[in-house]
Amino acid sequence: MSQPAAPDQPPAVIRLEGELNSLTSAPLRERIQGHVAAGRHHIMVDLTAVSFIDSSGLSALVAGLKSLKLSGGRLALVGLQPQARTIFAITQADTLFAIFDDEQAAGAFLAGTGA
Amino acid sequence: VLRLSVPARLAYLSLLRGAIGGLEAYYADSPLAPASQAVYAWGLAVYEAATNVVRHGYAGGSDEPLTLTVAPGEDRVVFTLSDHGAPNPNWPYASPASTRFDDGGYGQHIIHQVMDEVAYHRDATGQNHLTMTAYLH
Repeated sequence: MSQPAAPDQPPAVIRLEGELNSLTSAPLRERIQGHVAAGRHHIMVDLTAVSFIDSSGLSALVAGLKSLKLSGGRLALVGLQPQARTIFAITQADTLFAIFDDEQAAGAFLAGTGA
Repeated sequence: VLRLSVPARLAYLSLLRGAIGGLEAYYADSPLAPASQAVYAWGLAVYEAATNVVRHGYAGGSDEPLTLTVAPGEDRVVFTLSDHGAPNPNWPYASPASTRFDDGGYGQHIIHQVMDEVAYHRDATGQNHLTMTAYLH
């Protein structure tokens, strides 16, 4: 059974670097699920240092988004670089995610005070 | 024509993508020079196709060669992936009714969205050939 989001908890921040691909997507899934299991339902994923995202990486983010939504939480993506953004445009996944240029805007979204 | 063979393992696939990145410099003086975003997308599509070969053709990986051939022309680039793995299970491709995929299923969609033409055949020796053509616009 899903747990309600705990708004007083600060958002968890996951900072990634390099490539988010078939080799690295599984650890991301585990990190997101670990936060959810620990009651952290608002997560910011910092993609500033990610140069490439493939379909496995995108699937991991989608799975995390679904899991957080089920628990009443939110997922914010921040710092998505133009080339890494390509896969979001091709798959129209950019319509699924809350994508922000900076952490302040993402934080406001996760706190429920932003768009 | 560029031909690059790597072991059919996930850890080597970024090398194929890196080779495609060189097309931006190759076409720098062409009136049909592709945008860097387009070259990146070609690399993504080929990477997805190669991942499919490793995962499905070789059940997760093999030391057998996976060969990428890149043939840059005046108005198009032809990418061919060749391997001796199991036949491509995703052919013929059926376009999904929705892009709201479940957990996965993006790879084939990406290949067909990025490339203008995609063709697959398995020859008499049992070698698979996936040919992906991108036109220069």
